[in-house]
Amino acid sequence: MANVLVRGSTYLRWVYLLLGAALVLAFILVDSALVSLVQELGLPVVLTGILIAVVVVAPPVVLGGLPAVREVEGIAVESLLGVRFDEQPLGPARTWAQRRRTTTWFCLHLVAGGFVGVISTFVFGVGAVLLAAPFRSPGSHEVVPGIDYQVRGNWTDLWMPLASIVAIALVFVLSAAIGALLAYTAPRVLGPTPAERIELLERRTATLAERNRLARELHDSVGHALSLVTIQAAAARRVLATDPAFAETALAAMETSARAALADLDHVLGLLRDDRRPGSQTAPQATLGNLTRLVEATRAGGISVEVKRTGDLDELPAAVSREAYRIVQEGLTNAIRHAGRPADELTVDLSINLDKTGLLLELTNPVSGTSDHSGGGRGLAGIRERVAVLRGTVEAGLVADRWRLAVTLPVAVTTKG
Amino acid sequence: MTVQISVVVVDDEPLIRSGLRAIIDAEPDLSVVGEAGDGAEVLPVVRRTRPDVVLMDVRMPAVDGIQATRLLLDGLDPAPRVLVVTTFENDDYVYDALRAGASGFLLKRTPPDDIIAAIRTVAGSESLLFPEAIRSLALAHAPTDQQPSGLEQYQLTDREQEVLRLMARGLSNAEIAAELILGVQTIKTHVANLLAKLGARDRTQAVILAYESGFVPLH
Repeated sequence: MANVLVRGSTYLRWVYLLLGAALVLAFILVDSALVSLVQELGLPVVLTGILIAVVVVAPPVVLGGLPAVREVEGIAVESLLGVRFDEQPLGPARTWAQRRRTTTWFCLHLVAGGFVGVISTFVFGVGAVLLAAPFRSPGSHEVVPGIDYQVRGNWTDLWMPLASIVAIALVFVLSAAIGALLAYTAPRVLGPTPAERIELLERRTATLAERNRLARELHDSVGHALSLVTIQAAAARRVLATDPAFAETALAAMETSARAALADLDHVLGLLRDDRRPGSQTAPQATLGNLTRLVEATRAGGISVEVKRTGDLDELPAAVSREAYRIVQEGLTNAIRHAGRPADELTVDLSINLDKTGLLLELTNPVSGTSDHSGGGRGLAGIRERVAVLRGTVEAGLVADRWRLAVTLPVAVTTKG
Repeated sequence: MTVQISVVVVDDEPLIRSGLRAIIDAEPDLSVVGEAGDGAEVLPVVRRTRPDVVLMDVRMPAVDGIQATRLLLDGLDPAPRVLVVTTFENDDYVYDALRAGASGFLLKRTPPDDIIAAIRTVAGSESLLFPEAIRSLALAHAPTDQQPSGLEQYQLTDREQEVLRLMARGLSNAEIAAELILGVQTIKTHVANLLAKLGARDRTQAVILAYESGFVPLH
């Protein structure tokens, strides 16, 4: 318990709760004015009751529904409660569901904050008076109007400061407990829902895939053309005097390549400018539903691929299915790249297993003695990054003489919502 | 008297081949003796023409430059020096090609004089091509998850270790000789011995091994 009192988070969380208390105080000031107005209307008791309830509840509900409140609460919760949301940073509410959830959170904040605020005020107020008790003249004194305490003028008075110190400590313990409860609740109530997390992930992976595609496109088209132009120009300059015919052909080739590169550049820049719809110009991304085609394409290269499938893969959420497809694709590419042997001697084992615990992908393939880059390439880093977003795990390494890549993706977390 | 250096150019793009050919043929001591449009065609062309140096594009549609380099170096004795040619410096394939035994790499945007100089360096095999670039490639691509093993198992003499360190810095045999105050011929013997002990084909492979084993620190 003493631990709680030396932890910095205890006091930050207390500050967060006091913010709620300050808001409650503001609402009480507004409410008291409105309530007396309602009472002056002289309506029947029931109607007055209903109106007062509306007057009290409406302001926090309306305020909590403002889009910016989600952003503000997000910052406060992250910095004072020490919570990290999956959405970074938490943006203003964009949907009615988010507004509803923010309102719920806002009301929770007010209730918890109001409660801790009242207790804090009371304990600090009374505590301050009682701390000073031993220094007062013997006799009867008032704590608050109507409540008295006796000062005897001897050591028995010491219970009063001791009791107030204990009470103040208990306030912080209580506020730490409530703060911890709020911190536990925040990601669930205020943070993105599983559905929103998937949407975030899809947006991120779409951008990533798009960026990679653009890089590849620039590499293949503009990079290639500029190399060609550079070499042809260098050659033409060298042989200008001795072989003018070659120089002329070179100039023509440079003209053609440069023109084609400009057209490609135009296209790629067009895609870059159109960043409002990431991935909109690309074909729909493949999912595990397209696995058969991928495997067949690989087999066409002479590689034998053994596939084992269990579970109904159609039930997978699209984001998980797409990610799984990408992992398999990457895994097959790496298997071929690091095989160090002819394609027709290469066997790749792929198992895909979906059950209640989630999706398990396992891919094993032989690697050559010379090219087993145990560190893995950029592909593996990419897989790790994206799997982390889906809260899965990646294992990769040599098992016996085969390279094994095993990825788990939790599915229960992401199917709902 | 100039020593003739014969070159085979491998690239899937005919215009790159013709450009490189014109640049190389313009030099009196260099000549292009053959061309190949894919890694799969390299071996027969090299068997027929016996070049000193092969300029090898890394990315080719059917058999890429890494595989073709392996084919050449495993299939021929003596094998030609392979100089890998690439569009971009941070190409993952370049390091793979160096590990496969290529003696060095060239960017396609390299000025023609430097292309010529690189071919001469690699053919002479007296010094390491672009030592700084090889160091940064090793830094970016060398496997980092295993403990540096050092080179103890190869039992290099102190002198050979010294020579390897200077080799990694890009010093030529003559420069190493001057640094250690020894004769060039002695250095040549040391180099030959240490390459044999390491099982390295040439200086590039030895230096990569020195980096990857942690014998020469990358940082």
